[in-house]
Amino acid sequence: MDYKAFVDGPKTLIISPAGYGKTHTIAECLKHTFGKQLILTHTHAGVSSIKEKIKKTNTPPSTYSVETISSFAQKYVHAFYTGTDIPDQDAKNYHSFVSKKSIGVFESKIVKEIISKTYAGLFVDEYQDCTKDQHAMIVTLSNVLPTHILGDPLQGIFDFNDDVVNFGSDLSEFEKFPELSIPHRWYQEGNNKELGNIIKGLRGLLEKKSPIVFSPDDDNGFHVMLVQAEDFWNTESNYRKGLRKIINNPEQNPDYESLLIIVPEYEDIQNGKGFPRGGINDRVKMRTQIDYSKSLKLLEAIDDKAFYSIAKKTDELLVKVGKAHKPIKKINEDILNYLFNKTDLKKWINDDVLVNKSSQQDKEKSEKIKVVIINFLHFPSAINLLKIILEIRDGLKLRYKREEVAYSLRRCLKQSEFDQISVYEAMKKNRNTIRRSGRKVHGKCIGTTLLTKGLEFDTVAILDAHKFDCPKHLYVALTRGCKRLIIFTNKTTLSPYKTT
Amino acid sequence: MAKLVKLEIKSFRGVGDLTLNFNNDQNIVCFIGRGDSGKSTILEAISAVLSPSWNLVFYDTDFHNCNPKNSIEIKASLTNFPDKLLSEEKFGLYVRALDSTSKEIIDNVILDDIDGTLKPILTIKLFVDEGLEPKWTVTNDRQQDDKQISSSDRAMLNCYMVSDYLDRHFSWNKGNPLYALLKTMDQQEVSEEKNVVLKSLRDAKSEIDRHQFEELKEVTDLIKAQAASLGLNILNAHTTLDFKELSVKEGRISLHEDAIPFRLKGKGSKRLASLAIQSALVCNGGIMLVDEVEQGLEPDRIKQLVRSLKQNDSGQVFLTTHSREVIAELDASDLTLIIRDQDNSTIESRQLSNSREELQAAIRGCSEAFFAKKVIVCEGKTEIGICRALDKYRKTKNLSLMAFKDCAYVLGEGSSLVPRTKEINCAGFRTALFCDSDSQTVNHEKSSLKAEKVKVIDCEDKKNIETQVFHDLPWDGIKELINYFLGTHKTINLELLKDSIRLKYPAGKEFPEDFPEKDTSDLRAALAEVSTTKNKEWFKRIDHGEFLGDVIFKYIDGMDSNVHLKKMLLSLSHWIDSDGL
Repeated sequence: MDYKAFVDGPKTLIISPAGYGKTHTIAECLKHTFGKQLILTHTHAGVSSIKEKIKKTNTPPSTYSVETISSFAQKYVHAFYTGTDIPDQDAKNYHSFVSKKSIGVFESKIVKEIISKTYAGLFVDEYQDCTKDQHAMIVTLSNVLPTHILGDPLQGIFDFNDDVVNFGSDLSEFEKFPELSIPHRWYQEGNNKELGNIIKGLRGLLEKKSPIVFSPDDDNGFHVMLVQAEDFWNTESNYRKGLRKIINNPEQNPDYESLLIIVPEYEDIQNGKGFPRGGINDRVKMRTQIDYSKSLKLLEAIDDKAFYSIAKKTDELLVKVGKAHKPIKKINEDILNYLFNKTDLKKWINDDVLVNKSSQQDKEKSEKIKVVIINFLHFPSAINLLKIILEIRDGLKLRYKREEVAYSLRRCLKQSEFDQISVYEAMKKNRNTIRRSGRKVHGKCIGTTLLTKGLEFDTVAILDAHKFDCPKHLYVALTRGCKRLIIFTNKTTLSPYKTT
Repeated sequence: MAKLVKLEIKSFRGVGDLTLNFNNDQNIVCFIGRGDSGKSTILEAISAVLSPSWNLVFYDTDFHNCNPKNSIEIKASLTNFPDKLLSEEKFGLYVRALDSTSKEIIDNVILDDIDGTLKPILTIKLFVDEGLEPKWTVTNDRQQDDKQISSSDRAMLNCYMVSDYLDRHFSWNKGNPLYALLKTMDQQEVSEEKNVVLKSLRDAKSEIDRHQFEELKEVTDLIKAQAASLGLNILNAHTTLDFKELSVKEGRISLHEDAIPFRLKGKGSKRLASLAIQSALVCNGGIMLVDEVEQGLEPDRIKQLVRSLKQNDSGQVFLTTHSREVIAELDASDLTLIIRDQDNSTIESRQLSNSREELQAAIRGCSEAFFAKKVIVCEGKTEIGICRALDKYRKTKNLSLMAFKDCAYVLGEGSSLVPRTKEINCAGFRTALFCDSDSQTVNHEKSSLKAEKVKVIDCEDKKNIETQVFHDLPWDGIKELINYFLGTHKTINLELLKDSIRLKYPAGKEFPEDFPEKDTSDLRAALAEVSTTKNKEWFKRIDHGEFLGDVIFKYIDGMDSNVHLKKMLLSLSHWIDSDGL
């Protein structure tokens, strides 16, 4: 591609399919720019991957700066907005408030002067994820700085409220460059070049909203397994046998050690009523079915409600447990039931008492639980609650329902005691840190397209592919694997388009 | 380049709390005011807050009332500062705005700015508390935390003070005006520019290294032998200059004339040379501070200097002065009066305005007024003379001299009398008008002047000062005046004088031929008339007026207390001592 022409244009746009070297393109562009370039993307993970790529090209750090769009907007809004109505940082409307107000800030003549004295050009990555407000902010900036947009409308899956930018109608001012055409990710040494070409073909169909046909090509790592969705719950079905082969990996295929299982999220229409499927609770259940090797990691959304609600419940418990009529029941219902499997737990704690055990071994275990519970009831502190959780986990060997929630809570219980802050405060800090630093995800995981966008695995297994009702989500699912793709579906021809 | 548009000083030396605004199109600001009014402190404050040094030493005495409990806080708001400081990683996010129409500094820069009147402003704050550690930050009122500003960032503002301790101004140190000038002239990359001085220095050293130092060789050889006997091989030892001694940081590299370093030159030359370096810097944009600009300079050089400083169009010059030459060269709008309140607790400033021609004329015409706190505007030279005599009289009464009371008397003359009085009063000085009552135009203005709190000291209705004197002075005094007149006018003798008085004597009344022995009211009236005959006035010179005054004060104690002349002059004297009206 002609990098120079792309950076020389005042407002330019290039469509870059997943794995086609978007980040690489940004790094190459920097060889043709003068002055400091501002590079904006959406996630902290995106920031670090761009930084990493640019570093390899030996570009001087003084000539670029990479940030998330929201932290950039946040910086300016906090510096210049003089109103007193900025919501709390953890409030729901905080980010939309900031991007709304940022438009006015960047329209100010003085701020424009600051921007133009600081930067000489602007790149925006993953443009399909911009909200309308963020788009308006970028348009304002594009009147001050030469602006170059990279993105892929087919990966625009974060359109929850229908308020994201529309590539077709919103970007007419931008000069469109020829779409990137080489699937670099698959062409790399050790990856599966042919799989890249197959996915490229599927992309073409999805773009045209044509029905897509899966033609299995087992030699080239493109596997299609015809299954019925219900069979998932039947241990002896082909569905489960297939999964077992991948997850247990008895043949020790190295490709299966980096594995992502994608569960589609969709709306199940029953009697005219829609039920969301594929949510976290569904995935928790599905995992218990297939996690034969106990190695399958459950991916969680960083800001899943569960993190905050359990932290809040903990703070409440610490205050109220002393006055509770049935204190043990309260601990159980408020906290433990969210961390452990209810049925497993019931074998040890029932209502407000500890279950009588017959075997000597179990009696001892139960006695230990009793000690930590009584201790907590005498001194209801975060640390003493932690001791109960640890005793159940290590003493009774009960598994966590959602490890990440449990581990985060454990960390926050310690933190709250240490910093003398509420568990909820500690949780907010904990989530912020994770959002900033990004998570390293590897090994075997189960998740959704939303949780794995931007990640790469050697092997991807898509469950119930026929349930996808959106071409973008299907496309993101198809592009996560760079060596092997295994599709479980009930038919080979899919039409993942909503009929509206 | 950077221009100061607002200065706020809290608890710094003599200044408790002072805010000064400057127009951003104003290249020169001249502070005038009585000694100890705080002018120099203002310059010191600017110099401190914009100091390119990484540290300044503060003492308890630098705090207002020497009380370190009241922290020193100096804020300088600048416009047109270097682009580099405007960038986001420097202070872009801390920028405020100057509304160039209302001249106000606002923190909400995202206001609709359709006319494009907003300009970026940087407010630098110097804060010193009882720990005596100075802290420089960039600040605003948007509830952001202040951000530290380094000495090298401050150095970009090119603010320097011409002071008496200016030896360092002649060396090429970082942080000195010569170095700053080098930087502004040098367009090369930063890394190269840093090394210009250092490189010359290294070249110089290698030149010295070539020198053999033959005279010292004998001793060196002895040492070599001695060392060898102790088992140390230093055969390559030789003598040369230690590079340490050449360190640029020590300021060893400086301007010389022939072999004489500038720092050893006379005070006057040093000052002028330092001014030359800095005015060159100001031409490139920069802030120059000159305390008592006239020091060590002849009047013509003062004028030349002020004129050339005023002509620069990119930098900003702050001056203080006690010199008429300086303010006569400047426009009224260049002047800022610094007035310290009587009880020394508060300082006020007043910027004079260009818009009134009369003020400009008042400044040119009676600049002395602008260095005082109280001003007596005199109707004529006679009154000036009387004021001089009053000063002598006050001394005999053990009253302080008028200068001690910060009181000046200036000439108002003719049609400019009332306008000048008004301008001076309006500029913030306590003003008294010392005048006659024989001019209808002036009489009409008196009530409005009184309303503006001008103290009016005047004669009885329709009388001028001579009429008043000849009416009120004891006859012996009048005889002295007649003798003085005859003594100073050799062409006139008593007979001629008698003739002219006779002419003014009321018709039908018998002229007392024994003149000047007998005192009659008709004679007094005729004498008054003769003494004020157009172009033949007896006292219309300062020295004559002074004699007139001397005579009045000689007899004043003997006069009846309700004699108008006595009442007039004593109330003037009283006004000089008073704080109120």
